[in-house]
Amino acid sequence: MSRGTERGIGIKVLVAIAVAIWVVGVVWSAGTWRLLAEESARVRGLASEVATMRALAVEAAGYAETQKRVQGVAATAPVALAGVVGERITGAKVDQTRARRQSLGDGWALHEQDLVFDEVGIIEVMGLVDELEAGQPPWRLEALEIRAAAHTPGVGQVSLTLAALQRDS
Amino acid sequence: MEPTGQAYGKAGYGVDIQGERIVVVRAERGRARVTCNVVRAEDRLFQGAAKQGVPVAAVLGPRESITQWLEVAFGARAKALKVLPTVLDIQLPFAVEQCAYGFTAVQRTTAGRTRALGVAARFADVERKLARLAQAGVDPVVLDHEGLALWTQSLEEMPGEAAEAGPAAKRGTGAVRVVAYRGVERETLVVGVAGEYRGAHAVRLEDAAQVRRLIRAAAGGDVQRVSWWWAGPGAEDQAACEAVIAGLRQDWGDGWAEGRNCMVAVHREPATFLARALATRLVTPGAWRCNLRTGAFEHPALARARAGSTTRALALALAAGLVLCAVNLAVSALVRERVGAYEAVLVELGQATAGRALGAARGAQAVLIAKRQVEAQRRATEPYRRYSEPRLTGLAGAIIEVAGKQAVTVESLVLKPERLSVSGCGPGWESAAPLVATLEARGFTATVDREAALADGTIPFSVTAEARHE
Repeated sequence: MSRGTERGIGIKVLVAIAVAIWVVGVVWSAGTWRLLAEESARVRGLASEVATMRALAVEAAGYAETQKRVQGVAATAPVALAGVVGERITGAKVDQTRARRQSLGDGWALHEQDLVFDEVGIIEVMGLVDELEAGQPPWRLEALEIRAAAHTPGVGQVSLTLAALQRDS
Repeated sequence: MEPTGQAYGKAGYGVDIQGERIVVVRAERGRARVTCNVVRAEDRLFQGAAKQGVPVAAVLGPRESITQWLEVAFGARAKALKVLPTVLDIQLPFAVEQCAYGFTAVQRTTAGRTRALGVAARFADVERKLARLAQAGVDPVVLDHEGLALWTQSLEEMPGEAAEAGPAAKRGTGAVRVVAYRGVERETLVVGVAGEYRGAHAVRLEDAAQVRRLIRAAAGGDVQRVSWWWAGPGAEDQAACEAVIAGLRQDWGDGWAEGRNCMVAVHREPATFLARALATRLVTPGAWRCNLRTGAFEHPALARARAGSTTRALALALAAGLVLCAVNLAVSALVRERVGAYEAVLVELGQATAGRALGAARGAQAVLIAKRQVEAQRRATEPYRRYSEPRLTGLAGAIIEVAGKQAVTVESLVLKPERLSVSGCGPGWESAAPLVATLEARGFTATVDREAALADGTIPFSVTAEARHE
């Protein structure tokens, strides 16, 4: 076989390889184009889901942080209401009508206490509430109802609902 | 042969063998013009031209080659080029298979046909010419056609009526240009009209009748004006040239009255004109180009260059194909990696948010599980959040303070985390408005109801408010 013929065959083989690679490349490109079209929609969906999940994670972290912070504040038992009320409010009829306990899990519970004062100085009661809320751990005012006496300014009936978090011993 | 010739390089040599003398011209293409210089045949650079890849061109005369205008019915160039060899075969006195041939000046006619100039030479003549050139120590890469070379160089150096090319040439009218080459061993007559080559002939220029017949035939019979250009070493023999023209005038009569419709001139440096033409055609692209050293006689350097060019083109195509595949691979991998990364982040966040493994849950399902978990967490921690929210005591204090400033008597105040109501009496119709403003500022939506004034002139009112959830 002459060198020219060998060279001709070599070029034909090269052409065949080049054509084959081109065909593979073009077919592959079509596949890649389709993959891009499909996957770009999927990536957009995933990006949106990741964004939602991040927002949920932030929200969950906020809840957990609040819970941890509040539990840190309420690590000890709040002051006993009966004693404080007896000391601060004199000459008024006090009725501790109802006490409730709501378990929050993990050994924690929410204690609620209703108090009703008849013919009491309203400022005096609000001062008591301020003091209770400033305590460590604090009582928190959950509800308040004031009904002023008809003819005595600054006096009336005051109903309170106080709540405190407490670790069950 | 390519229909429109490309330049073979920026430099080239044209060779014209004039008996025992070898005329060599080196042409170099600069930015704006071609520079031609006569060199000796023994010149070192010329002798080493082949090694340095500088092409050399020699010529096949009209006795050794033929040109023929052809026309085919196809307007499509590619189709016409396939048919032209068959048409040429019909025109040739010998089989086209025995010839080196090609087509130049391929053009589409107004009738939608294709017209081209066929150039052919028998392989036997090519072989004989190459052998003669080899004896003279010349190995040309290009074997050009003498008539075409003389024609293009004449137009190049003295454009003249070339400007009339186009419609005039198509009509067969316009000025006839004759390039008469007086060589040592041969004489060649090239005829064209209005810039278009018509034919080249090996003739005895002294044969006025034959010359006139050839000119009239090439010009289509109607010769109005003639410009006659001498070239070749014999053009320097003024007496001989004048004798030729005188013979033509005698034969032609009034049509050859110089100064009226006939112009006779000599190209500059006529002895090197043909070599200059060949060298110039090597270094400039354009129509009317041809190389009859083809097929089995193709110069090895040209064959190597073409093969190298083919190999380079193939290698480039191969590389481009590989790059295409590589790009596809990279893009596919990138897309998958991106999707994988998003999925991993989603699972990680989902597990962290939900506080447990999500199992097989992916995408929207994972988000749904996390949402449920966060909602449960929100409900479970609500007492803690309520515990940490702003105290109602402050709100009660603010209401009592505003009421005091407005001289409003508060009869009842009911305060709960989400709603509030205040009732009392005020000195004026708008006494309750500051209370409403205070509540609005603290995130409540408040409404006020007023009743008719009491006997003491005060206005009873009640304000109810609901916490806004924004």
